[in-house]
Amino acid sequence: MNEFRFEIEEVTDPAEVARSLTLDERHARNTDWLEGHWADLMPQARGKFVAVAGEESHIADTLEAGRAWIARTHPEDHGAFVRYVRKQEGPRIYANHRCVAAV
Amino acid sequence: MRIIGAWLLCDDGAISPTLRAKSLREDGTLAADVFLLDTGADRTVFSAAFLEDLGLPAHDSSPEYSLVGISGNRPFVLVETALEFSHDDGGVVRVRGEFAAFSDPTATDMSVLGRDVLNNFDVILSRRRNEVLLLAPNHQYRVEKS
Repeated sequence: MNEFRFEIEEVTDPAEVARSLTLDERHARNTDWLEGHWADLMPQARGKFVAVAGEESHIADTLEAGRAWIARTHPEDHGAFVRYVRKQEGPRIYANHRCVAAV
Repeated sequence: MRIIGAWLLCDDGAISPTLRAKSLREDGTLAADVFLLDTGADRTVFSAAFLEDLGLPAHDSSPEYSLVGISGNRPFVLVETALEFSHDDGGVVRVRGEFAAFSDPTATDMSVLGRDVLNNFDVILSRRRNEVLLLAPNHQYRVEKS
């Protein structure tokens, strides 16, 4: 598990490239929208899940409820997503997601 | 090859270096997520939300291993898949392998792109220039004294 081996390949199928780039655009619309609306969602979204689809949002208590809102309201939006919002405010330190072996 | 990320405003007002990545769902459609670039993380880790969106079969890691962050151990699984990144030549590059994913939806708000993937690129994070870049041949960087 400490051996992280990845194969890197260029996607050569034009249809697959087009699909990937199309999703970039759809997903960017929603992430850009969220970036501009955090102030409207805070602090009520803390400790909850924000679902974003069709450039609108829904605050849900669970991940499953967020997904259900997307499926119900924007089933066509493949760039939709659900994101957990941390309970705590303040700086985040993500470093050192390590794999350690028990001894 | 030049993969371009972005400095993204997060919920707490912090602006963090991020990169959009995509992966195939179990049903063959593509899902996207924004990954935090974390040069201090040994491993790339999917958020539980992204893992759930993908719906891919996952398996438990070996019991003698755990994923340790600043906040302590968090449960995780392993998933075999490929991450896709768009580059500015209009193409797409795919990184295929076994990725870790948190199984606790509250473990992290963002997926994390760690050095297992980043080590394959030259990584430039410049807040002053508002740039997040991953470089691979035929691109390179040069440091100059002005």
